[in-house]
Amino acid sequence: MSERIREKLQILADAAKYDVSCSSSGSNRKNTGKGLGDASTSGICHTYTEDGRCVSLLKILLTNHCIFDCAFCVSRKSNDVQRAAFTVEEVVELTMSFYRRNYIEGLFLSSGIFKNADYTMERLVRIAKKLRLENNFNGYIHLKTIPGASEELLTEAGLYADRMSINLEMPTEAGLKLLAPDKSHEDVKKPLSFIQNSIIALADEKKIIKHVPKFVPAGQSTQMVIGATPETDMDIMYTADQYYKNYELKRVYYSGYIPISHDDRMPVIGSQPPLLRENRLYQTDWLMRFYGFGVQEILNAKNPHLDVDIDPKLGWALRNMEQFPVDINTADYKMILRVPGIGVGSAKKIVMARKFGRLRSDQLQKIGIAYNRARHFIRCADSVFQLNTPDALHVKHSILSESNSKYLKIPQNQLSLF
Amino acid sequence: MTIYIFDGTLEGLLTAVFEFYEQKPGKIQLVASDHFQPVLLDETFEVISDEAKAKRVWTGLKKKINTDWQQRFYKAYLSEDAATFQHLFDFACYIFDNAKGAEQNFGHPSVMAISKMDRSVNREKHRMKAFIRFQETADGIFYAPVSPDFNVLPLIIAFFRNLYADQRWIIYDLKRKYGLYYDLEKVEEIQLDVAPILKNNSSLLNGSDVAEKEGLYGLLWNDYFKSTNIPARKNMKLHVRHVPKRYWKYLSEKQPSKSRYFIALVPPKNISDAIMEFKRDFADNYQSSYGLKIIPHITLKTPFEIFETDHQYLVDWFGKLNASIKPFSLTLKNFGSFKNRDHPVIFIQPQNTAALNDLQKNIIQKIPAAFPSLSIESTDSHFTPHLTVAYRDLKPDKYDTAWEHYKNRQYDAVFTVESFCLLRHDGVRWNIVATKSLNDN
Repeated sequence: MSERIREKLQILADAAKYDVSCSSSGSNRKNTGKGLGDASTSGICHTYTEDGRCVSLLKILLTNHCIFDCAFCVSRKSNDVQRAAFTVEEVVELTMSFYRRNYIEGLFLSSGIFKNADYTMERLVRIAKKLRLENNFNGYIHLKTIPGASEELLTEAGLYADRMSINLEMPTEAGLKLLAPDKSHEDVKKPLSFIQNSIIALADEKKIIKHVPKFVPAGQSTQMVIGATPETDMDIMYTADQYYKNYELKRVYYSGYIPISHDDRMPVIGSQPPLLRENRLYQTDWLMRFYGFGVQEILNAKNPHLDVDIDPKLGWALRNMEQFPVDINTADYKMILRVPGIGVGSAKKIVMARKFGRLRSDQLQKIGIAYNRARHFIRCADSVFQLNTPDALHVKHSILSESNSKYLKIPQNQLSLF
Repeated sequence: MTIYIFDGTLEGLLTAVFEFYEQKPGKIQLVASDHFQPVLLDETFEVISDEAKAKRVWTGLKKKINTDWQQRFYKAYLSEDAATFQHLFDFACYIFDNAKGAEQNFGHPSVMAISKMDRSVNREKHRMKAFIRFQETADGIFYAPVSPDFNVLPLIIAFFRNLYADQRWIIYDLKRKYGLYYDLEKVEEIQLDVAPILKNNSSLLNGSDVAEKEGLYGLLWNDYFKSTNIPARKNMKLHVRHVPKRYWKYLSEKQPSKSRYFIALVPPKNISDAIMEFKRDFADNYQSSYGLKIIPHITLKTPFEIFETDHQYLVDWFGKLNASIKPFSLTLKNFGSFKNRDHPVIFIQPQNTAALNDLQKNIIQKIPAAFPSLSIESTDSHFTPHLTVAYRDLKPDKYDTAWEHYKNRQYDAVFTVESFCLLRHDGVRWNIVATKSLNDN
């Protein structure tokens, strides 16, 4: 028995690892009635794999048998890999015993499609239900929405899951059609909006009725595979922006494509995954969500791709030198936040501290801003007066010469793809 | 300058603030008594901790700073850091000497220092929440030894009480020699006479102290940790930044892992192929397919585990192993069975096994000298040679029908035993990693 369960875990964890969503945050489920677990609002990463990604949830497929043949997927029907399937009890026992030892924050359960969408979704729901009702488990549960599953099943899933997600797979409809002709973005939009509407409906009810059941308290997320198809950064981020706005997603994940097939529509096996590009996309995502940037400020017809050598915030600043320098002691919080080298924490501290007197550069450094970067864009109490605005190219070279980006050592072969 | 010496407690630190405003000695330096080194020139004053005085100072602080800052003050204190004690003292004075709201002045060195130390302590607290690993002991208590950089146990009580409301647990700080014990009702502070130490191998507790299934869950977790990694994205720098090496001792997934091995005699290919047919018959007709996963063999040393780092040592030892037996002829004749209740076995019977028995005995005898910690099973010391065709998943009822057929079935084969093999399990199946010829000796 132990050998078989080890083998299954190895196969089904391996097949699930390409889904990059890892977050265990955003839920507010409390431990009631002396059960097990308490979803931590901030989320906890229990360990990190050697690729530097966090391990927060037990991320597995229920099975890697699948009726679909999507070219980008390791579990596609035509791929010659070992297949396995967990039973409901096995998943429940693994989750409970891992959780009791503080290995994980909860379960991330996905699955290949076997038989049909409803059959698969019903199994996923059954596991979540068993954990919640029979085992009094209050840890985090992330369930995959199976495209095409009935609304009844989605409603039931939402009652037990903290987060649900459904993957766009490719950033554009055209890209998706190229690699997975059976799928479409419409299949994704329908369940996304159904669950979103259910969340809103329950929130409205809560205004009238005190106790309404929790329904997907940590919201929904999605994932796009990057670099398998020839979309621009602009295509990708405009899609992300649209989904953030239309479906109130908590997260969009960008997963650099890791070649797993000899399909000639995609990068060949052995080529480096586009890690740098993925990183730049996440930076842009953060700028949109936490720094008050509009996506069209960072990416537009004139700049359809993100800079490789500098991050998108610095890139924006260099393209908009007329907005600088910013006077730290008088500028609006929103503008301070836009200075390269100043993050949310530092910006808040600056706004508080300057009430006590004009801030000097040494104080700014103590507060924790990346001063060498920021100094080109700010004025503070002890700045020397400068007559003309500095030249963007000059500033860029000066910053690059001081920094040693880890990416400059990585062969940047992803650029030659398109 | 006057040096104030206090006892290192929060009460003492607050009392020092009280004394300072009583005595008004000008600038002072605050030192914890265990860090104090006598000096000639400076005047010293020993602060005697006083609950009433400390309380007055704390009440005063509470009036001027909000709960966030009160917590920051407490957490910075838990750092047990000498420079931070001084900053806490200076901070308290700065707050008392200025109008309300002074704590927001991040330009002030002590405000900034406390805010930074608060972050460090918080990070350590968060790491404890993440990196603590429980092991279930034989009496059902989940035990986790730790040695955090700062004294953060008081900060994680509520968290773990809510998390594990339905299991008894102990979190023990080995550095500060105290722990937390939750008995399903409340958490209390405990001190163990003999705290199990944090051993640097995959099991943090002794084998006999842990619950039966603990080993399996540890293995499964380590398997999961490996399987969920994407080798194409390997980034050790990032890995170590997130999981600094000093925390590895807590993490079973970061311990050197063990591999399973066994030593066996493997028949030549023509005979193996014929035996595989029997195995296939069991898979097709008696619902027992486990035998198919392993090549036909006669076990000489039952499976054992050693650290992966010792792999080469094992292979070298195996290569030099002198079994003192010349190649011999072995006969396989007909079938036999172990009629175990739960896991019956059907096998092919070796005949005239004197030389085989000697070979097995000689190998077993050489093990303790090279691997003192390996256990010799009773099946090793009382050798019953057999060549298994069905086991593990052979159900008792299927066994009955199969044995009815196989007990009369004929099988004859003779081959020369010229070598024996070392096999290693790679997580899914057994593979031959070394072959030792009997002609070498």
